[in-house]
Amino acid sequence: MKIKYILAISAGLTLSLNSCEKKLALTPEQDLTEETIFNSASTARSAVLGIYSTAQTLEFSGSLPQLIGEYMGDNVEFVGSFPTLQELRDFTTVSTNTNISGLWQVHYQVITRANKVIAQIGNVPGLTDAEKSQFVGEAKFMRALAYFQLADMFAQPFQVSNGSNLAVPLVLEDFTGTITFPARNTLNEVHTQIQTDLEEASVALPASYATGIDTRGRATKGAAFALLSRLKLYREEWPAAVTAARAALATGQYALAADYSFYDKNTAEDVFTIQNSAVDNGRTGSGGWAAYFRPTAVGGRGDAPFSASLIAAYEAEPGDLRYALKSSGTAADGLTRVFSTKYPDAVNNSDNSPVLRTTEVYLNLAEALARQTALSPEAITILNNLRSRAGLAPKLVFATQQSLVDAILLERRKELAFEGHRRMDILRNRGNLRQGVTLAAFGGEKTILPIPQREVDNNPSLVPNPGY
Amino acid sequence: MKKLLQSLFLLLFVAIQAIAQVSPERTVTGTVTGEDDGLPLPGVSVKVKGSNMATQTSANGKYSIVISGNTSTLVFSYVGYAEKQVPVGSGSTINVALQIDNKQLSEVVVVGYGTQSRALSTQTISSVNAESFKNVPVISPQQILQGQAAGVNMVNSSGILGAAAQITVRGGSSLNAGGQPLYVVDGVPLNTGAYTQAQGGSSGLNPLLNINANDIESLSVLKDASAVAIYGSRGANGVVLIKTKSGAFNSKGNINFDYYTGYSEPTDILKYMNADQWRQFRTEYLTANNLAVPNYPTTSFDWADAVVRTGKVNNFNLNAAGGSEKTKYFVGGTFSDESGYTLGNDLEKLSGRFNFQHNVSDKVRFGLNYNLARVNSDRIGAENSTYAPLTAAYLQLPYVVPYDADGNLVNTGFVQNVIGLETTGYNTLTSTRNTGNAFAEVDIIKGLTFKTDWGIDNVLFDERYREVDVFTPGGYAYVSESGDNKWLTQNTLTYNRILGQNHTLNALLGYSFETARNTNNLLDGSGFASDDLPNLGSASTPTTASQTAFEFALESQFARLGYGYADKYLFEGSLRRDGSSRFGQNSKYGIFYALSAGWVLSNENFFNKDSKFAQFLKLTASYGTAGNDNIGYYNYLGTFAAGAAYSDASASTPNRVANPNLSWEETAQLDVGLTARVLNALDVQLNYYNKLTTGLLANVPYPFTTGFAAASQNVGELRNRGFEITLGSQNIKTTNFTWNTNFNIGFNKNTVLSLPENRDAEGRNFILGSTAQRAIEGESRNSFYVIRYKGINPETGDAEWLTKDGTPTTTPVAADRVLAGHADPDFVGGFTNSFRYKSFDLSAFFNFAYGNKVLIDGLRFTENFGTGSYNKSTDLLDYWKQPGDNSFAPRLNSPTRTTFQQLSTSQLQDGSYARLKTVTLGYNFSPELLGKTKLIRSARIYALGQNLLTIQNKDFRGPDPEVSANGASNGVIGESFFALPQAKSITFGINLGF
Repeated sequence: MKIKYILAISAGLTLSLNSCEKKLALTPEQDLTEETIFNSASTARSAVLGIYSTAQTLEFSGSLPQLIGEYMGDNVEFVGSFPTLQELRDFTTVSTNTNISGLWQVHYQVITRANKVIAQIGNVPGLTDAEKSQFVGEAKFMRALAYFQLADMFAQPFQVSNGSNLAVPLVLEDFTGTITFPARNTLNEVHTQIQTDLEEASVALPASYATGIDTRGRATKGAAFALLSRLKLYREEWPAAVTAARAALATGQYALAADYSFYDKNTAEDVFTIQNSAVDNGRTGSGGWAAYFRPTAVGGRGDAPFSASLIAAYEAEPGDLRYALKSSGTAADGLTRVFSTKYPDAVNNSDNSPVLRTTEVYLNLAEALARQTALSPEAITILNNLRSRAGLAPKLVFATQQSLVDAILLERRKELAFEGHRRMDILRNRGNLRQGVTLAAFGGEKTILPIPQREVDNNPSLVPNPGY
Repeated sequence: MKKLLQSLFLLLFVAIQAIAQVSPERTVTGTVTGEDDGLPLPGVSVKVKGSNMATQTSANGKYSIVISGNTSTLVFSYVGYAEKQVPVGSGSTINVALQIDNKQLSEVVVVGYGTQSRALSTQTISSVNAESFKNVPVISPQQILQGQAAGVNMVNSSGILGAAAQITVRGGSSLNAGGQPLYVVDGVPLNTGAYTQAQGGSSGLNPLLNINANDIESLSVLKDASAVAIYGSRGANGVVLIKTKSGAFNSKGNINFDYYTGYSEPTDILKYMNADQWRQFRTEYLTANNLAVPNYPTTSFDWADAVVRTGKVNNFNLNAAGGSEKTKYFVGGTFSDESGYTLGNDLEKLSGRFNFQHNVSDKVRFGLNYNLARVNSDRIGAENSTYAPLTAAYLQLPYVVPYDADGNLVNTGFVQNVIGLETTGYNTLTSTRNTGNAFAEVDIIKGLTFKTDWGIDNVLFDERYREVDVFTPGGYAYVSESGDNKWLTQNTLTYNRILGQNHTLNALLGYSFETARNTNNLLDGSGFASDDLPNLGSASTPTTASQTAFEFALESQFARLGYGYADKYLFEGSLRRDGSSRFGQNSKYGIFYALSAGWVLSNENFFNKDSKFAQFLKLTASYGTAGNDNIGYYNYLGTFAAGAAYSDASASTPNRVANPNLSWEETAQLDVGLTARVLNALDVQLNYYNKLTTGLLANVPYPFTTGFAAASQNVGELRNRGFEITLGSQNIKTTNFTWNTNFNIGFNKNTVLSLPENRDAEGRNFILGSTAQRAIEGESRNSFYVIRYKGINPETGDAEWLTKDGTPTTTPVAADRVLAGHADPDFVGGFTNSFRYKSFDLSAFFNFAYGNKVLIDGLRFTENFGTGSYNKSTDLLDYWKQPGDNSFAPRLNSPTRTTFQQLSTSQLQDGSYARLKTVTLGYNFSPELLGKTKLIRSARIYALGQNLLTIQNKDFRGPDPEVSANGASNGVIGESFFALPQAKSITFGINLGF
């Protein structure tokens, strides 16, 4: 009797060896497997939007590259407490700077996620050819934008050695598990790839989408041309810059706003704007647009007020309405300073991230025209359109070709301040990033960012930037 | 595997057949207990004098022996107890109480799925009993192990109340997989998930926060393979078995009441400038650099003084234990209320336990162990945030004041007004936990017992936070609820017999299944009409609504077979097969085993037990394997994370590279030990071990150009080798005076043997832990790799570092980094002296660690020379002024003024220390006096000091060398980013027995 009992228990125990495969087969509840994601139209669409979602991140369009673009220039004072950001301000940064490896990481996330869409979207059942083509165009636009931002940060500008200097590695293939160790391409190679992607995107992309938020927040034909015009401007290919800017404007989607109430409004002023909302934005614990640019009392960190140089630029011509986009408040150093109001929401961080707007396209066009043709009337018209919107008297007389260019560049500075353009606008004009600071001189080793040490350590093909 | 199990069954079966041959005449039964505590003694040998009939007692001290009619005497013997001969009368029940003759050897240790006599065990186990931590104000049970168990390195990660602790057993044998030991309470393996949090210490929540130390009878740390293999895929980092208190059969109920109250303050804090010092320094600095000096406010405020207070603790504990013939019980309850030494950090704890067992008959028993606990904590900002009181106090500019001219709180921005934060809104954690198990046991035939045990461990963390309008315009709140709910069943057959006079056989066969589901709900929102609306529901903008869930299941079969011959030659083998949902498709099942042997030389005829030199001597050796399954939930799958969004539609992004081969990491361990009692006073335990972890789970770093940061793979190899010494000595023992010393020390050398391809400048593969710390092939898992700081050049006033080849430079680069020490200590241990003189007792316990470096990372902020954004250390006032100055800081306008504070050996410091962890002075009231009360059985009053004295390197800059800011992390230990130092405390208490 007892023996039977024992045998029954032991039989039970033995059987249980085989019975539980099922209990051990648990699958994740928050994730989708790679096999399923490109197997239906809706999940494939979510992978396309995943590229933009990645771009919302602090390190891409979430303000960090743009903040660096402002305070490594002369528009913004950095009084915040992050040593990694202070190093950049002081042009003394090191290759182990964790903010910089974050920038590199997120930009390549955007690139590889775009690569995956480009490689996989063709096989997705349930998508029309038009949709597939559009998705590839969107991915190529975002890839181009990522390489553009990377080249700006990690390579000396075109003007230093005509683009023959090293930029960043071009990764264009889908990563499917085999690690490669790509070497850095030259700035010219990277720019060529950006141009190719933008040209292909401009063919594949629609001029607009069904909703306003998509027309301003997703890649469009106009956005591809607008970014191309910036690329050509940076490369001093003036006629091409003019062509691209005109092509963007010709899509009929864009118009100069009448005043400065357009920020965060998805109007015809916006060419491409990364969309943020209270529930969906790129703010992290370490920063965000309003977090950096707003004072403490409204919930910001008070890290990045106006610089004395920018204040002087506005005050040189009293009455500039763009100088009214400010308020004063307590900065991170406990002192009262002046802050931009372009990104007001320091509580929910819902402010959209500006990437390309109509005014910039006009500025690109005006500058490219003025560089080609002395005292281009069209350039003067554009300049005065912007000046009159800003409440300033028109300027009609320019002594030299350069003085018109300088006037356009000054307008560009005052117009696009706090939007991340300043550092590149100084460098491509062979300027010193900050007056009187030797380390900030054009071509200075630490005016560009180091290739992150982590990447140099992990990829034997990578050559560090000089000085790091 | 199946075949092996089957042959085990066969063996068991044959044994049963053999026993069935013995012909019965009369059966005597009874229970053997220890005379001192009345607790049953398992494994006591019961022999018929002059015959070869013998048996041993079961786990609950019961025996049953068949005797012939002419049997006159039974002999009861048990190591560590005096042998007892009892004449057999005509009755059929003989209960025996054995008297201890050697405390150390008489000990019964808790092992996996059972208990063993320490003297006859071949496993290496460190036990800490209640008497060594009674009355010590510990918040969680891990703290009990600090300095008490050789080879166990326990580091308090922070002085914040309830912070997680860093604990490693015999050196960490994991890198990226979870590296904490498995905790098992009364047989129930606890949930020890990494409960992340937004507040409190940066190290995560302490998973054992609501296990009450007052209920614990003993903690056993299973160390060698023979002890841990039975826990299979979860044993590699050691197992801590916690046994809670129980009553005793046939005992009068005892009631104990304990109370203590006390005060605490920080052991030390960092230096900081006052407003005048800061203004003057900053003015000099800006002037020297031709920069405009702003108009600084003339106000001043001492932030550190305002946030540091005297901490207080009150702890009440009441318990009752006892039992009748068939039932025993323990009921305990604790209430404690503690306020930490920083503003806003309070912790209130309420817990109750009920342990119960009933014997239905001689053959059938059932019981229950159940614990209910609630912790209510008022929390402070995470230490690595500027919302933490002391962190903010160090960094807040000293001219910034918390109130405006009208007395209203002001928002001070990134370095927030912590006085305002702590006096408005709320920041709480409520944690409730139900842990318990119910079991039934049936003796099927003589020696063979079936036990079925069903357990749960349900833990719920409820975090709530509310910030008022002044700090977030409109106000902000979040609610985070995390739960980890486990259930398990364990079913075992045990067989314990003595065959003939000399053959002892113990067998265990078991099956278990457990599964746990970890869930988190996070909601936050902003925009409140008024600060008077406390709940998130009043927010106008709900900004986050997140829910996540993770589940795992583990199914196991296990077996253990022990054989002993004449208490001289001991052998044991154990085996476990685990199937886990955490492992990839290609490796769902793992098999773990151990073999061990022991030789009790002192039981040999040639050994003279009566010699003064040695009274007991045992040699043991073991070899075996165990695994670590703490590798995440579904890490073998390549996945896209859903749940992101863009332009009001859902977005997905890749988050993991597929690896169907992902599996447990395996640690094979060799252990050789010697246990001895010498000179009639000294107990010695020596162990050498060599642990080799293979299939080390590493986050293999990927170039970011792949889109991924890393992927989990079983790729590395890691070795821990060490030596442990445990000494217990009764130095003096007279009627009026006793002096005992306990000492333990564990030496460990951790070496990474191989890592995936990722080479440093020296050609060694490495994996980053933090910016400063990495695992390096051929070196420690926790090696610091930083540039070397040389000092201020007395001639130039520039700060200088060293290039790789040792040349001084003012502009070091990353390529100049070198190996600069390791964060794991060469040895740790503890040293306790206890004295008793008449009614007074005094004990002093030191713990120590030696040979490790600690990185006080906060110094990069407080010693930031050039910034105007936050306060600084007064050390910077000692800046270079003229040639020949040997100063701390550089020349005001030195080109190194903005790089002086960069990460280097300047912040990396000697972390060796010895600390007077506890010192207690007590007085016991005499029994005669108490006898007159007719109520009180025992009474003791005492004073206890914690951390009163710390011996550390004289140049140590930082509040506390005992740091582990990342808590239970393997890759980053010994780093502090403004971690709160340990508290120095004094408590006064009373213990009453009724």
